[in-house]
Amino acid sequence: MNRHVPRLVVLAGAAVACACASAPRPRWVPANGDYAPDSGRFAVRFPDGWMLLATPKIVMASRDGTLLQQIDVRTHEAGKPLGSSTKKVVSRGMLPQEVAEVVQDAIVSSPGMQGAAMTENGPAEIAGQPGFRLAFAYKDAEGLRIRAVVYGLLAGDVLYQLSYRAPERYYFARDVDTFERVRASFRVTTALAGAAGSQ
Amino acid sequence: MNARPAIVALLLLGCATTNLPPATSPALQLEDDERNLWRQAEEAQQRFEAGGILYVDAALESYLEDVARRLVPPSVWAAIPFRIRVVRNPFLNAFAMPNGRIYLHTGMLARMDNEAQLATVLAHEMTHATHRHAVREFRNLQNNAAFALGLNSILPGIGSMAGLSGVRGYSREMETEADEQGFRLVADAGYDVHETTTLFAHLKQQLTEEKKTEPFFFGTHPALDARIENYRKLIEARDVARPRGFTNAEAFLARTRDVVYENALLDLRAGRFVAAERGARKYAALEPSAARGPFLLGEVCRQRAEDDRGEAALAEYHRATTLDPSYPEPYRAIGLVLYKRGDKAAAREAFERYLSLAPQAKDRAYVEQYIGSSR
Repeated sequence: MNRHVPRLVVLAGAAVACACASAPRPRWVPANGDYAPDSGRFAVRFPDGWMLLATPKIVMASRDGTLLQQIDVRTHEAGKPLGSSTKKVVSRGMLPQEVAEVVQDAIVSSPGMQGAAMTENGPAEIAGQPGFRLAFAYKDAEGLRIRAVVYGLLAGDVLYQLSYRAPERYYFARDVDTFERVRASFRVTTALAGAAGSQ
Repeated sequence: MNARPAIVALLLLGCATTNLPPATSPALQLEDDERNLWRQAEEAQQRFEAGGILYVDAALESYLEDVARRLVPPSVWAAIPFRIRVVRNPFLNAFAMPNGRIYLHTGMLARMDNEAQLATVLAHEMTHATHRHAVREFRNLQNNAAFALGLNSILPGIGSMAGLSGVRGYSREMETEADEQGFRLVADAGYDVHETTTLFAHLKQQLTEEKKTEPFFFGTHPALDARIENYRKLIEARDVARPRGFTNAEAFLARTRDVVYENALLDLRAGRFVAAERGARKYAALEPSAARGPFLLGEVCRQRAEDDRGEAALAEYHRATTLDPSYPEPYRAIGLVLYKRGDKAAAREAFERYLSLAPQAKDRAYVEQYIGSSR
């Protein structure tokens, strides 16, 4: 029996190596026109010249580095808390204003965000459906003043969030129109069918 | 070769004394490393306070400092100029900087019933500063680093900081010292020392409700139950024939009721519905004529969404409108509940009332949509 052990160890090691190889670490890649995640839940177009990083939970884009500007798209399942700092959840049938309230509360409950000042919370159309637009400002850990915009849409059991954040000085104004074009390109592809899984 | 003399020399060179006298007089001379810690504390608190997280209320801060002054003689205050600040955070926490800056979370203040409980927390935190725990802890770490270096030369891998800390448990000793000395300060100031354990009981209840560990000194070393027991022993050792002391509950609650409201809002935002409801009920009891008490209770019911029809929320909103017919928020909330129920005509009436009372409402665009789709 014991003579089989080394072979088993080798096989187990190979299996681990295969598992690692099948889940490559996300890398920044050039944005190349339309983007759709593997889940097929949405499609969006990021600007040429920007870089993309896609993980199972979020796809983010930046031109000069995420400290200077970041656009991201993420999805949340209804019924699951929006982060570790809040127990609130969105649920099917909520009005856009109610969803916005949950998202806003998740933002201001996050560590380091308790001082965030909400400047806007209003209705907005996303992918042809009623959603919301939040705008807020805060200081990061280094004291740099950051401005941010979040669009949200609850479609079926999936909350879609499109966010943009950049330092208030110079960068925010420079790229906010680019973000609006990204938002205008956003399309929901499967959420109304109640797709499950991440992104 | 005998390495022992070299190791002993290394350990002696690396060790700084942690046996420092308490800072109880204006003649306190900070040592070099301690002065550095104070400077770092000042820099940290500037960054911390610039983040917009303070609950700013000059009258409340003045009251808190009055309570703190009652706990120590003026000579101690001259050595360490204590300043108390309140942080907008619903978690049960309080902490002290080595230079005497003390931060109390709104969650902690809102959970207290009286001034004796406040004094318990302040005395504990002030003791951390007067007994120079920061520099003692810093030197402990330094000495451990020297010890670890020496030990590693003999037994590689054994002398890790984490391992040594686990064995020595400095924090536990200092927390116990802060409990015991703090208890003496509370008792000497004439407060009812039985309240020290009441606060612990409140904290334990909340930990159980939340099913989580709070980032709070009572929740770290020593364990909460052990500390409750320590306080009980301190009370028994002191008590028997003594009068119970005072609590100043009325003055405390009058000063902190707005904190109770603000903190209930923070709990609600974090989805801590049990804590939010408790805070809202406490506020409603403290300020029974204020419409925002039942309104907040209604918000807890609505956002908790356990009642599809929203009857409990509606009842609280109507109580709020009865108390103050000019308070706009409950009308918007009534409108939302009715709108979702499909009672569009009644919803429209409530929304219109809301906008008439709050024409500049930030959510006007949403409400106009509701009104438009209710026609």
